[in-house]
Amino acid sequence: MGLWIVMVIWGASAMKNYFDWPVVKNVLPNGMRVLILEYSKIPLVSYQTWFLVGSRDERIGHTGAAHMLEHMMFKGSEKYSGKDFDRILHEKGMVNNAFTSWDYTGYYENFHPRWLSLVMDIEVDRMKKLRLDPKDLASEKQVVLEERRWRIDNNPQGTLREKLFDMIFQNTPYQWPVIGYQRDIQSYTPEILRQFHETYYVPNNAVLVIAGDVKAQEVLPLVEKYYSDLPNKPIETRNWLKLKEKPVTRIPEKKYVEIRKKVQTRTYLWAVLGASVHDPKSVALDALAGVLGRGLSSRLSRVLYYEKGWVNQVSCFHLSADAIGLFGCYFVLKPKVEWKAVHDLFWRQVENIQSQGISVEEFDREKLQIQKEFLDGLDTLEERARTLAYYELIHGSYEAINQQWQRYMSLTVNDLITAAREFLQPSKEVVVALLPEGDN
Amino acid sequence: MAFFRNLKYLLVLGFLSTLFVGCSHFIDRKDRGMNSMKTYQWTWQEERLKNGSRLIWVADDTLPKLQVEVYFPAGFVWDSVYKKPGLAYMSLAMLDESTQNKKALTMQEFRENHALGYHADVEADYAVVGYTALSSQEKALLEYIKMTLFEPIFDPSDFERVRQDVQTHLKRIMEQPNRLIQVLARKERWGAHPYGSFKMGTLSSLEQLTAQDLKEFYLKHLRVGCLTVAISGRWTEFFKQQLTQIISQLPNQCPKFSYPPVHNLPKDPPVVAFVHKGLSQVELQWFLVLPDVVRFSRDYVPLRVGVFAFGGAFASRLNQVIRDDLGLTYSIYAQLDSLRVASVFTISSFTEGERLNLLIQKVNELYHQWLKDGITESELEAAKNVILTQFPASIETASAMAGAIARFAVLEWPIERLNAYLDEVQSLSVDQVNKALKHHLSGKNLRLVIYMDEHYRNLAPKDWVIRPFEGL
Repeated sequence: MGLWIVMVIWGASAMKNYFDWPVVKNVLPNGMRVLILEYSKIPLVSYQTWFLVGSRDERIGHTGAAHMLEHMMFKGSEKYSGKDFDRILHEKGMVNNAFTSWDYTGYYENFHPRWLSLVMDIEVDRMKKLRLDPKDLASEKQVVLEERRWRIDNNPQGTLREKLFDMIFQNTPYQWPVIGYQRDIQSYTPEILRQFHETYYVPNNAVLVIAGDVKAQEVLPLVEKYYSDLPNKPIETRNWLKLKEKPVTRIPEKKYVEIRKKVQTRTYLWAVLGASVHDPKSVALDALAGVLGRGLSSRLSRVLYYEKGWVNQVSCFHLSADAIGLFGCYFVLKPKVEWKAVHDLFWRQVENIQSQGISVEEFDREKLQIQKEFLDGLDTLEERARTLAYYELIHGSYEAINQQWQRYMSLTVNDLITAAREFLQPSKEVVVALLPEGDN
Repeated sequence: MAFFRNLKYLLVLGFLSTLFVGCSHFIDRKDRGMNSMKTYQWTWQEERLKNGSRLIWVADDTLPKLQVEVYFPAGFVWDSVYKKPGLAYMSLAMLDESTQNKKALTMQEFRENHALGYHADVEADYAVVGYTALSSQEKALLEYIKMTLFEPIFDPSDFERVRQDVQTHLKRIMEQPNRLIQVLARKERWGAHPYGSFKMGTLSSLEQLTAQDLKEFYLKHLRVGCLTVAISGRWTEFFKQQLTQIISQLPNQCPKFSYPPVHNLPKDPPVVAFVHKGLSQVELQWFLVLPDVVRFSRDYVPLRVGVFAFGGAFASRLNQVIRDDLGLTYSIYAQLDSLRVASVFTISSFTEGERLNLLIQKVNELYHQWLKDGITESELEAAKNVILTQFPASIETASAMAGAIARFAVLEWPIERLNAYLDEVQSLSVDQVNKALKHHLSGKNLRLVIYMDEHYRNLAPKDWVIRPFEGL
C-alpha cells in the first residue's frame, strides 16, 4: 500500500526567525495525518496521538465519556494489559500521559528514539481494540470521581468555572464540564465507552505527530507498516457541526448566579460569548482582553486596582474553542466594596473603548505581548510537537500557525473597537459570584 | 547503557570585574546503543565578580528571547531572625513597586510596554527574581533590572496595597485544600525551626510589618553582592557587558544565616487531623525529615532513586496499588526534596472521606513492605532508565539549565557536581539503594497530617490528634 506523501518545509518568510522547522506531512490512505518534525536538540522523541473528539461529542446523561475513555485507554488493549502498558513504558524509560478538552483528546509518550516501533505497536493496538473490562471500569470510575472532587467539588474556583460554562454555553455541547457530572460518571458502561471508541478513535479522525531526534525517511515506512491496516470509518454526525456553521448569538436566560461556599474572598466571574478560533474576530478579542485586563497597566487594573483600590485582582481573557468562544473578566473584590460599583465602572471602561478607541501605546503593547506569548509556548520539544498537533487537528493544517500569526500581526485598532462593539454588550453578559456563606 | 561525559574547563578572559572562570559541559551519548550517534551538548560560562556575585551564562539561539534569574541568599529562614514571618516575601514583593523616579503604575507600564516578564518568589533557603524578554527588548530589560535591584523606595501606600494583596492570597490558599495541606504539614514537620514558617507569613504577622521593616531587609539582604545570576537565551555583547556592570555595582556584603540543628524536631503526634467545614475530600501528607541527608550526602542519590521506584511514576508501587488496583485516589506520589541542611520524604494523596482509613491502611502497608523488602533489581533498572532517558528534557531549554545551575550555586553547592549526577544514578546497585532506605527511613517515625471535614471526626482512631483549622 503506497503512501501519499506531501513534503512541506515550513518557513513562511514573515515567520522565518520563529517557525522555520522542517516538517514532513503524510496522509495515509486511511485518512490518518502524520507529521514528522526533525529536531535533534535532545535525544528524545515526543510522540503525540490526538483525536478530534472531546466533551462536545457527548450528550447529557453521558457527560465526561471522552475523558473516561481517555482513562480507560491505559487499562489494557487486545495485546497489552493495563499493567503491561505501564510496566513496559516505565522499563523503557518513557514518560507518558493524556489530556481531554472540549474539542480533542491527546496522548503522548516521550522516549528515546530506539523505542519508536514499540510505541507504534502499543498505540495501534489500543486504537484497534480496547479491553474495557467491567472490573477495571468500576475501579477507574472511582479514580475519576476523585479527580472530579479534586478539580471541582472541593475546589471553589473549579465550581465557579463549571457554573459559568453551564450558563454561558447553555444548550450547546460546551455546556457541561469536560470531566462530566457525578451522576453520569457513575453510570458509564463498557458499551457506552466502546461505542465512543469505535466511532471516534479511527485513523481519519486522528493526527499523529512524531517530533524529535528522528529522520523522516526512516520513520515513514514504520508509520505505514503499523498504521495502514487501520480502517477508515466515516463519522456520520457531530453534535457541534451546526454550532460551527452558525455561532450562538442568543441572549442568556440567566444573567446572575451566586454560589455560597466556605470562602473568605468575594470573586466575580463576568463573561459574554466570544469567537471561535476560526473566526477572524477571535484574534481581535484576544488583544482586546489584553487591553482591558491583562497585566497591571491594563485599563481595568489601572482604574480598579490602582486608582480606586476596589479589587485585589482583575484580569480578562478570551478562550477560543473550535466552535465557540468566551470573553471573560475575573474580579476579586476588597472587603466592603460593592459589586455594583465595580460592575458600573467596568462598563464605563468598555464603553470608553467602544466610543473613544484605544491608544497606539496600548495597541503596540498588546502586539508585543502576543508575540512573546507565542514564543513562550514553543520552548521545548514537547511544546513544539503539541503545537503542530493542535494546528493540524483544529485548524486543518499545521501551516495554519502562519495564518494565525499573520492575523495577529495585521490587527488594527479598528478591529479591536469593532469587536468590542459587537461582543461586549450588557444584554449578553452573565455573572457568577463566589461568595462566603453568610455574607450579605 | 551508559552516559559518557567529558568535562572541559576553559578560562574565559573577560570583563574588568571578572575574576574567573568558565566551564563547558559535554555529554556524549555515543554508547547508549542508540540509532543515531550524534553528540548533544550543553555549555555554561561562569563569571565571578569582585563583590562575590556569580554570573552563569547559558547561550541558546533557538528563539529570540532571553531570561535572567537573580538568586539572593535571602530565604524565609531569615524571618525567624527578625521574628517577622512574611518579611522576606513582602520585601521581595516590593521590588517592582515605586522607585525613585517612577510610580508603581509607571513601573508596570514600562514593563508591559516592553513585554517584559517578571516574577519574584521566596523559598526557605533563597529568594529569586526572574525576568524574561524578547531579545529585541534587551535594553529595556537592563533598565528594568537596574530599577528593581537598585531603586525601590518602599512607599508606604504601595506597601499597604501589596500587604492587602498578600493577605488576600493567604485567604485564597485557605480555600484550596491541596495547597493548604502543604502549609499545615510544613508547620507540623518543622515546629519552631525556621523552616516551619510559611513564606507569606500569617494574616496577623503581616499586620505587624511596616514599610521600614521591608526597606531594612532589602538593604541588608537583597541589595547585596553575593547574588547568583543565571542568564539564558539570545543576548548581545552589549547586554552582557551592561548586566555585568550592573551586578558589579552591588555592595560587597553577604549576611550568612546560621542554621539551627535539625535533630530536635517534633516527633509527635503521629497523626494530626485538621478539621473544617464544607470539605468534600480529604487531603493527606505523610512525611519524615532526614536530618543527615543533604544533596551531596553519599546516600542522597540512592534514596532519591528508591523513592522514585516507590512512588514517582505511573508504574510505581504506590500508584499501581492505591490508584490502579483500588481506585482510592486520582493522585498519589512519593518524593524526596532537599533543602540546604536536610531532606524531606513525603507521600501525598487525597481521597473521599469514607475511604480515608482504607487509604491510610494501604499506604502504611506498602510503606512498611517497601522498607522491609527494599526495591527489586527490575524496579531499579526501570527507575534508572526513566531518569537517564528523561534527563536531557530537564535541561532542554537554556533557562531550565541556567536555573538548575544557579540554584546549586546559591546554596553554595559545587556546581561541578551536577556533572556527576548521571554517573551516580547509572552506577547504583540494589544493595546501595536498599541500605540507604533502611538506614534513613523508619517505620516508626513517619508522621501524617490530614485536612478533612469535621463530619469525619468519628472515623478517627483514638490516637489521632484532632485540631480545628483556625486559619493562617
